Amino acid sequence: MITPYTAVAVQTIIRHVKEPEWRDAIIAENVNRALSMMDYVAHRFGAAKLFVLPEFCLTGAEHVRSVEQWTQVALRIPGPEIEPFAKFARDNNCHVGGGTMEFDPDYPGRWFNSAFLFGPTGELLIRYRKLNGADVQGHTTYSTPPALYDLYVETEGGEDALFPVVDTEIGRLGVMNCYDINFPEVVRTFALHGAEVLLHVTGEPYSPHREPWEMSRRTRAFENALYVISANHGGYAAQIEGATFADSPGLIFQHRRDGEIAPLHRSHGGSRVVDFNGHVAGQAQGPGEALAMGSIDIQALRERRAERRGNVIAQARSEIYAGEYARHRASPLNHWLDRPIEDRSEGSGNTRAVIERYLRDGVYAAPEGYVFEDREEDRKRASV
Amino acid sequence: MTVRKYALACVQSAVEVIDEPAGKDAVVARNLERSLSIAEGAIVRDEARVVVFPEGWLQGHSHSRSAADWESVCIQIPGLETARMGEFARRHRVYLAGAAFERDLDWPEVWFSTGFIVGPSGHVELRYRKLQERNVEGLIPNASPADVHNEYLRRYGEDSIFPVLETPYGRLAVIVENDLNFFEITRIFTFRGAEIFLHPTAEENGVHFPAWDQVRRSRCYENLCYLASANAGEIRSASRAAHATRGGSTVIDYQGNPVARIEGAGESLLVSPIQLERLRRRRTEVRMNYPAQVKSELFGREFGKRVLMANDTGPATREIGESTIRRLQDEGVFVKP
Repeated sequence: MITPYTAVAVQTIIRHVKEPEWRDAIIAENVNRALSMMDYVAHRFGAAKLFVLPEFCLTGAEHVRSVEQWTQVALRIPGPEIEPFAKFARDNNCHVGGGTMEFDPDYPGRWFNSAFLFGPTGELLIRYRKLNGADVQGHTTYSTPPALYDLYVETEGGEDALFPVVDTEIGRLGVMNCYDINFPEVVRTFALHGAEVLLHVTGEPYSPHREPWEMSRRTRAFENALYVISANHGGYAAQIEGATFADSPGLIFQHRRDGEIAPLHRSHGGSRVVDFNGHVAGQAQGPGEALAMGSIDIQALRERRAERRGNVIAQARSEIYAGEYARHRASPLNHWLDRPIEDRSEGSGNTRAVIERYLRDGVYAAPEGYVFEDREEDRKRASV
Repeated sequence: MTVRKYALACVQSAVEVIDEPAGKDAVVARNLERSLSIAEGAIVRDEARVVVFPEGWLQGHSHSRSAADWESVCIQIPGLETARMGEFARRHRVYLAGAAFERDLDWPEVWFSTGFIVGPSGHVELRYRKLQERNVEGLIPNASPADVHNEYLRRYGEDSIFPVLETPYGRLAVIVENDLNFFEITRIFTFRGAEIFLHPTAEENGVHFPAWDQVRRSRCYENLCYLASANAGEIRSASRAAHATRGGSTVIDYQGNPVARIEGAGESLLVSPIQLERLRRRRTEVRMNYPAQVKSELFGREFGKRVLMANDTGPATREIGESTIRRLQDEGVFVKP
């Protein structure tokens, strides 16, 4: 039996790599700050068994950088930059997960928005690549496994590589990134692979459509009877120049000259531990550096999953649902199989083309005066 | 012609339960006339064009009913009650939605909890049978279409499980009570064109229900749709607490935000604007357009790898529910506590 333990979402303020030549120094600073917060937990509260860091917590996400430059700035998993987290896990007999932009030479011309999990021996237990994001959204140029599905499954040795779950002494753990949480299908698939605790490495800035992400966390936990631990950025300190950041003394707020506005508290913080009933078990109340801590009771979760009442997973009419999903054509697989995504605007083209196909097929109803963009390149990519 | 914006009403009925099957017709008539009178207020005063009633609002849920009594309180759809609703709908040019315990006389071995819409034509224009039935929890001895899937498709056709009704007030779908908790259902209806989900429900007080308010919002956010939940406001029965229901009828918009809500229980009425044209505009935006971004093929494949609650078992029972959990433990999806 697994006794209840403490999990910690480490809400850091991230220093952002703008100039690639400052990469190593800035990464080291981000790593050291995160480690000192984690040390504080060990000193102040005693043993915590699980630490979760935010998405791209070592480099930040520079949206207008070329693919080539990203492959230089991004990290390897495993690699020397994240090795200090493996050492922390070893020294403190715990698990440590987090997110980072990643380059893997198996996939030339591409980079990933990834997550890692180290176990108490310092061994890398999970390497996960974000499944939903930029290449259908238009923010930046990282690749996702569904976009190169055939190649990915072949290279990684099977379809399960998209949804890694590891059985540990503190329960079955999985990791996912940010936007993935809004797709109930992703979390359900993790649950079908056995996940009991999902580490959600996230980067959620304020924006018009993000308030319901809080609902997503709780709904996913409820409908799958699993824990969700969301570690979000507490802030985002843009590199102005050299060792000067937006939060450096004397600079309260800074506009970068290339037009990217960087308020320090652009993220809402609010890191959370949500239990398997969908209730918040621990939280950071807002942005800024913070530690959100909650108790994880795997035995209680397993008892809940053995109950007949409201057992959503065990009651789901999966044969009907699987058939309907397979029949429908939404966003296709393999849209970046032929070549990697090169320009960030290409990602939104994929979604635009599916929307326009929906408007034609009657999945969506066209609003008055809608003008079709009908871009040939996008249509080819999205219709398969 | 499509209406850009209109009013929708949820009637949070006080439900008189059929305690004795012999009194069925009188109870059903009282529940129906009372609900229509309340609906008329929303139609005349607020120009509501779509009205939603709770699940079981004509017959009531009774957990002390025998299996035989459950069958005898069933109605037919279409039938006498929907004919009365049709006369009302034609007169007021409105759509009326609800869910009732239903038996098809041509198929006497099974009965369903059935969502339906009666339109201005005066007829039943949509009939949907609740998929995520609570028979697997041992609460009600009826059937889900999944329990009799092959025969269901043979009788009613391939598209009969997930019907969508095209109207001037948007494309309407009905989901019933527990269906809400299964993201696949709202997603599949969205793939089939649904814009406005009418949700006759029967939600009690208790540990599992508060989370449903989150779930409502998530369904709307992840499908860019409206959802109107009508719950019972009071229970009138010899065997049930009057305030066993939590009320809380709610309308959520396509951004996942509550537009209108009844705070708590009691017989009540909720009228909400539906911004249909804005929903359609939102669905043309790329950012966070989940139904257009979801990797349906990938998940069709993943979901097809494992059977959860199996089809075609015949009307499901508590034993089937429990043996499915044990099987999932054996298969390693769950870990035995």
